[in-house]
Amino acid sequence: MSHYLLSRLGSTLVVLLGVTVLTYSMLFLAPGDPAETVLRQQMGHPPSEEALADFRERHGFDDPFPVQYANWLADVVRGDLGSSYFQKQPVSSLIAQALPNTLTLGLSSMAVAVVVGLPAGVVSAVHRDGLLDQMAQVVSLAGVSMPNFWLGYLLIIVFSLRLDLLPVAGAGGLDHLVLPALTLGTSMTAVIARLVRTTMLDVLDEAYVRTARSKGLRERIVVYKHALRNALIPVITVVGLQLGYVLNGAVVVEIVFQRPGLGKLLVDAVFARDYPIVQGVVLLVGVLFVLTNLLVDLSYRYVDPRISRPGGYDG
Amino acid sequence: MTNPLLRVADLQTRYRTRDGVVHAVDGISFDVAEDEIVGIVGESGCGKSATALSLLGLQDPGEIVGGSIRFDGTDLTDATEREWRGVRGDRLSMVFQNPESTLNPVFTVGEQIAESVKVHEGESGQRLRDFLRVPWLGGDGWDAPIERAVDLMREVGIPNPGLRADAYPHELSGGLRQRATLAIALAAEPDLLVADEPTTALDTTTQAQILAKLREINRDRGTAMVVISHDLGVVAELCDRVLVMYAGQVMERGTTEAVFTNPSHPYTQALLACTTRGVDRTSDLDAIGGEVPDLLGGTDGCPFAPRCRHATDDCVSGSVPTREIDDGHDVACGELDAVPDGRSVSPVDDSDRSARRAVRGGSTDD
Repeated sequence: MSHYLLSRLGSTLVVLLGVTVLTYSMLFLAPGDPAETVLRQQMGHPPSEEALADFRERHGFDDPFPVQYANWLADVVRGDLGSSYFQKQPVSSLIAQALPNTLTLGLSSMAVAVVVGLPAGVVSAVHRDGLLDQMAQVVSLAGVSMPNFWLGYLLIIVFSLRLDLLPVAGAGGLDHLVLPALTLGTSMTAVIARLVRTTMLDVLDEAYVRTARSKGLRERIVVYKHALRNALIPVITVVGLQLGYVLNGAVVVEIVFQRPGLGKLLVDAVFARDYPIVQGVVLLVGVLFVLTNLLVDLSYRYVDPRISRPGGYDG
Repeated sequence: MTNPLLRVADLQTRYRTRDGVVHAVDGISFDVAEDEIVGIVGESGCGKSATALSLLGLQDPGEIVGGSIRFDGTDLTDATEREWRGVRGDRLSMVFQNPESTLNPVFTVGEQIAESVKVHEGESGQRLRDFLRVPWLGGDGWDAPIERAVDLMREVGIPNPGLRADAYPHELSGGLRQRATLAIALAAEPDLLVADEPTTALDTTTQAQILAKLREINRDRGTAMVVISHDLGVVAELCDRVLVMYAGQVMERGTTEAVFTNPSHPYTQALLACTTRGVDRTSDLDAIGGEVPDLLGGTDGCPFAPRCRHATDDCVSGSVPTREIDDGHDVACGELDAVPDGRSVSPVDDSDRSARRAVRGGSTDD
């Protein structure tokens, strides 16, 4: 068991190192010279050769790539992501301001997805081809197909402009969270509902479900104990992966709702070529994605004893 | 046999499929007395398992469309789902084939056995949160059932039951898993145990041990059994009476002794001819020509007629008469006079029968 844990942690470290290499390389692969772009914006006119040389030296652009990377990595490990070129603030504090908003958005939309999607999938499977199932199927197909930005504007028009129930944009209390979380959560809800339905249908055909019924157990216990626990195993992977993609979706939703957060920070930084911010955010998203995957792998072991206690029988 | 424990009369179970309606069980009748072991034998796809599942009301997605199942005087075919639950796993329980898949992979063996102890305990009913065993939501009161589960595991012959109770199914061998499913079925000390191919997926040694255990349970507790098998050897060793089933119908029935020494239906004779017993190794094995019918839309006439070498035009249509050729020995065949005498074709001779008696006496019990 600890062997598995160690090897899994080891491979996670390797992947994280790869993430840093890719993140840092972006700066070199991106078109244009950052020194010139940044100075032109700061000074309002093309910079002189001296100014360029000075900027490059200050930011260490003259060193060979491995040296620059090593310096940057050493800073990153110490928690220093550099400073924004334009906003005279360390990247880490900019991220610290933006991250809670995005995490709140991501987790609450994921909560919507699980709280609505999971029971919907179970009910669909139990009432296979019934009216409830068919309705759920149509709704979830629509949910999967609707683009986030379109759904976001639609919700703003209905709930903010027509009904005047919720704020249009910005961040603040719970009322600011409802529409963005619904927007981001809808497609995930649909994905989870459809997946749960499929895996539940498979599991309900299993022999052990029949064994459970033959004991005289109530159907509720058969479904929610014996079947659901098994159906959850593949669902956990997808929920974990979705958690990574939430950060993708957050970019669009944060722009639509003008909600401060990582997504908005990233997009603004990309347009301004504020590379330290871009690197910092991309690195953070990468790290979160890798860690989520690690968490998913570890949670398997909790749900599926065949993984936590592998090996042959002792009979 | 005054009042049988189980009386199945003209049972009909059908499955709606994309290709049509499958008449899996097509009007079969039989009784099971207390203490008795009745075998149902036949090829794969002849409706044996559908019969077994119908007995517990687990035929879903199939449907019982006719006939009755009277268990201890109550007609179960009218029972509500709630009434079914009261009987299932309590007075009437089942052992399924293939222990690879009949145990839930994510719960310990002990918990799965304890569950069937807990199901029928007390008036509190089955509360979901008690069964989910989520720590802070309830789920107390499992200690006694788990202890009982360990006792049951010991009874069915699982070594180190205290340790094995915490094992997951994948950590046990096939034989131990089948013993665990037996423990699940025996938890409530049922009056009737339905065993569907209880030994099919097991190796020969384990098969013998499980059969011995079933006999022991029948002898010590007086549990009546319906044993379903395609294996004539299993039926011969275990059962008092036997039904030979084909295409959802009973072809021949009688005491095991009678059916094996005087097989009178052409299908029974063909089945017995397929066994390897007494066949010298150089000759080809007999196989029954043709295939088991698909049971779509039911059959007219004798279902075995297309594969029967004695069939006449009369066999293909109309109803097949059932004749009682001896006390309690019935044969559903319209051309009995043309069929060779059972005693002359039976591969079972006297020495075999005495061997069987010796086995039934319990000499191979573990």
